Amino acid sequence: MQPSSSVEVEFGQFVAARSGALLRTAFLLVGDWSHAEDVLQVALTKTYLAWRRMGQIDSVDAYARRVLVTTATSWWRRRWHGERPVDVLPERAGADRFDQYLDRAELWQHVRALPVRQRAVLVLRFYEDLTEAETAQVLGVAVGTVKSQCARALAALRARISDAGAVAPGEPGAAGVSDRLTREGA
Amino acid sequence: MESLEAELKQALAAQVRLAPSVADLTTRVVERAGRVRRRRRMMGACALVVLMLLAGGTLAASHGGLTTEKGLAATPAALAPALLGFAPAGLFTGGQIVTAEGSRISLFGLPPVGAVWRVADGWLVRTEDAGTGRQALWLATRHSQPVRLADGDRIVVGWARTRPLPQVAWSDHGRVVVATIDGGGLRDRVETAGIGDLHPVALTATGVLLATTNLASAGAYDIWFPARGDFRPGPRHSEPIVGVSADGAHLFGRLADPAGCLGLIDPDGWQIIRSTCTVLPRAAGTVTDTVTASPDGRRIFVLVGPGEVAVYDLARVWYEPEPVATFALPSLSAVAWAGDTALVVSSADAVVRLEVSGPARTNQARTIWAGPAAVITDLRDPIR
Repeated sequence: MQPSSSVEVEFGQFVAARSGALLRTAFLLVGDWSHAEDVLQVALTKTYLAWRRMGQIDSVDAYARRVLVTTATSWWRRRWHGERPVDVLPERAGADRFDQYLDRAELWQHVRALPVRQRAVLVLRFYEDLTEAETAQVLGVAVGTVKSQCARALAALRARISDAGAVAPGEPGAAGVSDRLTREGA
Repeated sequence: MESLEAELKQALAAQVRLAPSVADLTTRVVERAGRVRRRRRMMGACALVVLMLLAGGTLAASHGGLTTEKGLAATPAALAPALLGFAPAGLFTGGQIVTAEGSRISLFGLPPVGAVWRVADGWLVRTEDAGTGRQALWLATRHSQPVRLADGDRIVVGWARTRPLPQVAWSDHGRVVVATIDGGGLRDRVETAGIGDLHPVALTATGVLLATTNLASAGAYDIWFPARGDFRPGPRHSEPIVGVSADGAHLFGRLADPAGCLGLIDPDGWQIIRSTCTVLPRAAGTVTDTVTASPDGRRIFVLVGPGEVAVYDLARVWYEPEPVATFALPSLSAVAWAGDTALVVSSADAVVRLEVSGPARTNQARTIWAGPAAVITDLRDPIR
């Protein structure tokens, strides 16, 4: 389809530049690629409809990300009530220091089990690498709320890791990061 | 940063390392937006009819019986040219990294910066001591002081599509070291001695390309394959190497016979696999800036002359002479891929973005930064 206006050309350039990154963020928020694509489409549709009233392209980017997060958290909340229980992770037996160390796939499962707002804060702070102020702007909350949500999310992760019988990174008894990475790279 | 935060960062990045592509996204979004607008107009028209009926009046005859949605006739507002979102890895200018979101990270206090790359944990910064010429590689992040990762005579950073993480190699007093960049540090470090006057100039999928400092001399290139053990000098390759393929399996070379032609070379044995004389890489090019493949490996851009760049489809370039796109920019200083279908080009006056393929392709370069700035190469993802 040939673009019919300069707005469509500009929007197409924006999509070409940012849709990949936005899709990844959407996936981390909703946990499923096909739903992430749905969320992305909705967010981009809203962004396109609002295109003309936005003056600067970095405003467009911030707007698109805000809409993406809002759409994803709304989708996640609607789905939460019908979601199947998360599988219980098997308890870890033994004192082997490698067994005690949590691998990245398990950590992701714990992130997926967090409440939607805590998860969004973690994704924006640690994947998107936004500052607390930038995260607050995207979520439309105060900086203090971002700080408390982040602290609660990390505490919840530590608690879930502990309940699963493993030792959280940084805790006494955990294998060092270099040890694990050496093991993975061997 | 505490360990849990660092592991969380890696865990999130690992989940999206292989993201699917979404076809025809712009088309679908525009069509969907059209449906939304039509639905809103219908709802607005229905509401208007209800209001008119309630008021006892008749519908005004305008544009065929319905009034148009408010605002459609307005002249679209022009977008300002500050398009940092179009350089996903950011720019480097005035001693600062300017991120795609517009925030700035100062590198004040570091030696002169030669190159910057974006990685998962922040930005790799290569500096060069003005007095000794020795180079150092640093990791800069938003929240802490830059950390030195390596230093040596020559440092090269590279990434191949077949590897999940970027690598760094450096030479130091006759030794060369290669390591993987991960988790804010280096791992899987392997080193060898006996490289003599050779220094690393590029990384392939399985090897470290070495070259003499004077590339005009005969026998200029050799290669070390770390998986095979220590470096053993082999038959050297004498023609200029001008790039590395996206998967790291091959090298691009400027062939002496026929003169100036582009060749695809197997680094294990230096066999010329393919060649074409419709593409003539410029004579003054280096390994890292003359021929660069797009991250998906489908295209290459070639510096064919001062300020002149040509883009080719890599599957067709060996038998079809026509480039996908060409452009010339006075005082061009650097070109880099921004994704698989766009180039970001820096010059003395500005940084511009050019869509060279796909539905957003246009002959117009968009200015994304007014003034000189270096483009930062994105190494965060093998498939972007």
